[in-house]
Amino acid sequence: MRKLMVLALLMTWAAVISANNPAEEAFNKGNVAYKEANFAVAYEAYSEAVTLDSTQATLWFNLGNAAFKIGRLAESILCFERSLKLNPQLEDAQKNLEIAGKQRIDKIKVSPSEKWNLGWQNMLTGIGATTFGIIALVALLLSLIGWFARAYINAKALQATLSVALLVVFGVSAFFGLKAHRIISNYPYAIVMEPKADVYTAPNGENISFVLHEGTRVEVNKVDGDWAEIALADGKVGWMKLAWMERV
Amino acid sequence: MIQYLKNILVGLFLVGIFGGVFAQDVTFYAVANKTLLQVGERFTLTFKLEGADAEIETPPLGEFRVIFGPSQSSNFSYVNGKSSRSTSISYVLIPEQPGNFKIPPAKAKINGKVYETNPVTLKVSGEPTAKTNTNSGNSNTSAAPKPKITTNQNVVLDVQANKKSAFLGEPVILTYTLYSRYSNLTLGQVDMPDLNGFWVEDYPAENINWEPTLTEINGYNYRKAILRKRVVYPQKTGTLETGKFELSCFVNRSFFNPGQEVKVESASTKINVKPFPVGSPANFSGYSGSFNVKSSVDLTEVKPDEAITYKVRISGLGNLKLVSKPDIVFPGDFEVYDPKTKEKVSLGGNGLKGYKEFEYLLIPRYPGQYEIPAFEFSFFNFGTKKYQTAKADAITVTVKGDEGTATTGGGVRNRPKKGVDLLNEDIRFISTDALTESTSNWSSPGRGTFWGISGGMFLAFLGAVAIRKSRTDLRADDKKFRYKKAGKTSVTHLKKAKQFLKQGNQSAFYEELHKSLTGYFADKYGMDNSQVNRPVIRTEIGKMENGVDVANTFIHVLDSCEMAKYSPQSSGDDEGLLTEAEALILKMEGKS
Repeated sequence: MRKLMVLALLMTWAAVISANNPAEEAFNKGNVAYKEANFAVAYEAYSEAVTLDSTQATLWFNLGNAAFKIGRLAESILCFERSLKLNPQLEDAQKNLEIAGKQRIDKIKVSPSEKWNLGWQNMLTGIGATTFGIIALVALLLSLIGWFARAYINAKALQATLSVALLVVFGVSAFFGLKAHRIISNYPYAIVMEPKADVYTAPNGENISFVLHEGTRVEVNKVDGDWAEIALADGKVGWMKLAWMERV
Repeated sequence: MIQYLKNILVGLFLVGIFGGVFAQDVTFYAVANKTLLQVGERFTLTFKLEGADAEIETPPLGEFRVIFGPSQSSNFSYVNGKSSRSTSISYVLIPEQPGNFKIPPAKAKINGKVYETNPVTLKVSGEPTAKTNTNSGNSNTSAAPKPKITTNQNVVLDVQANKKSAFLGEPVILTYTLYSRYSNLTLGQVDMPDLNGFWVEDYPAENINWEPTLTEINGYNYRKAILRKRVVYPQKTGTLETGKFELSCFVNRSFFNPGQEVKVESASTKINVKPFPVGSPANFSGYSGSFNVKSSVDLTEVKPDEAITYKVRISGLGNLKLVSKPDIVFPGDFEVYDPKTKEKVSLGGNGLKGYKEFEYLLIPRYPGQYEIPAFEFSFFNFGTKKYQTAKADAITVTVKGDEGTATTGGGVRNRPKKGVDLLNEDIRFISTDALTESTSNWSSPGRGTFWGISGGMFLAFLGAVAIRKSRTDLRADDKKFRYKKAGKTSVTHLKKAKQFLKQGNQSAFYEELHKSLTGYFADKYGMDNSQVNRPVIRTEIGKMENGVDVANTFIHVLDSCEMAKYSPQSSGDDEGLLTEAEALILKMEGKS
């Protein structure tokens, strides 16, 4: 009787696990379709998968591929960006974003300051908030052990130096981790989804400042009603309708 | 001609000498070799004056076509003391109309007397021939003209092709022949026709070389000379025209006389050009003739970057001038330069022949064995009317490794590098890696867990320090613990004291010695250091076995220490005091 109960419990647990993974199912379905060059079907399957589990960089990457293959350029760029937001080290996504970017109309020259800024951001998000956190916690632990062990150690000066250094490591890592976390959670980027999107000098649609096209990445500085103030990598700033873009 | 003039001169000379001496009978007559004739049949009419020398006045011969003549001959002979002389004028004539004709007599005036020949009657039968266009005063007709007379019957230009039908690229030899009735004829402008659809090769023009015998055309005798020859290679199928050859020439031209210009034009011959038969080989590129190919290299073993000369020679009969650069697929690692072309083609009786040679410069870049593939040259042999393929064998070239560079003393040679060309750029393939469990980011400093853990660790540290502190305090209160450890503690103090003694730090030595003893006593009897004084020591130690002595010694050492501590003059026996203290503690520990 008891054994039976255990077995029943195990089975329900297994059922919960498998039912928990409909995203996996859709993912596999999409993979099969993609391999058969059935890109429209693959696109549908991956779309379903990302609605079920939007935290998987792989799913976004594959959806981006399928979207690219069926000619949805802006969407594929958006998907690659989302994939990279989740896993900045996904090299295939970086490459495909680059290739898809060649089809983009807008060519934006990245200003030096923005280049530096992007590099800094990439460094932070590339290492990742969780990694910074672990480094910080380990440094703190070692530092505290040092202080505690001070009573039993002869080389007290060395212990003090090391422990203080480890405390500094803790502080810096925690700061970087916090930054990386902020960047990801307030990801400021959006992709222009309209084939042609006018950017105005003010959030009223009166004077066109410049015109963007689908697939271009903009940085959203602030939002005012239906409008968003965007900045380009070359430093241009203007107002665009929120509906014309999609946040990464 | 010269002979004829000679005869006249000799005749005149003899007449001058013997004219008056010898009387002669004069006969003057006309004779035709035939009197019954067909229309178009030739006959010879001769007027002959014998026994006298005079100018013969010939009658008009309008009804007949004059083919040859008038030809005059004089004869003088002196045989057996008897001289004879004769003059004759003869014509070769063709009757053009049927009927009876009477040739009027010819006249000659000899010594004021007019002699006449007999008339000649001829009977001509048959059909009259059509009159042809005439330029000369004579009324001429032509029957079945071989060379077509176009402008002037006296000069005729004829073109003959050695074949009427040919395959594409098969040589046809055109011979342009000039027929002339004029003896004095100078060539003026020669316009060889431009031929459409042919590759033309002209034999070099030579001086007119008249054939020694006369050729008769339409009853007329012509002098004949081959004017020009050319070889034509048809380049397209169908019926092709060889074009009209125009020539202007001058007759009777001399130093004083510009002569009469006569324009002649040849007819145009037609050549039927046949296409190649079906079933051509795959690599057939339209050459016809009879060819051989040969290939060679100057070196079969080279080092990398050393040049090889590869030659392909196509030789034989055919239009080699049209042969273009062969399509040879050299090994990929060879650098190949455009070939130099050498051509030696001459025009023979059968058309062009000779060879064409393509010389390639090849530079192998990497060691290894390479094969220059066999070269096949397909052509249509119009002699056998079959396709043929000439083949030059493949050649193997060995490019040796780099060991040569060591002997030349050069350094490491850098090979030219070749980038890997990206043939197809596509987005990278999808990832089929299993999905990861959603990664938890508990350690992110952006989350409370991180700060919770950090704070926890700090609290744990503080807690641990606090616990340790309370435990050491606890130990300090534990009398039993202190009792047990009293000996050891005092020994460590004594050791320290010994060190101070060695360093000569007397006050520290006494201080430490004093501390060691009072500490020991306090530990042993569960007291604070402050509670230790001499009466207590005396009473407590006095309880021991032999306690009074021990207590006295103990107090003595303490007194010595205190004395030494406060008076700069030392007792001088520090060592003794130390051993005394050691012995005392050992005794109290019960170890002696």
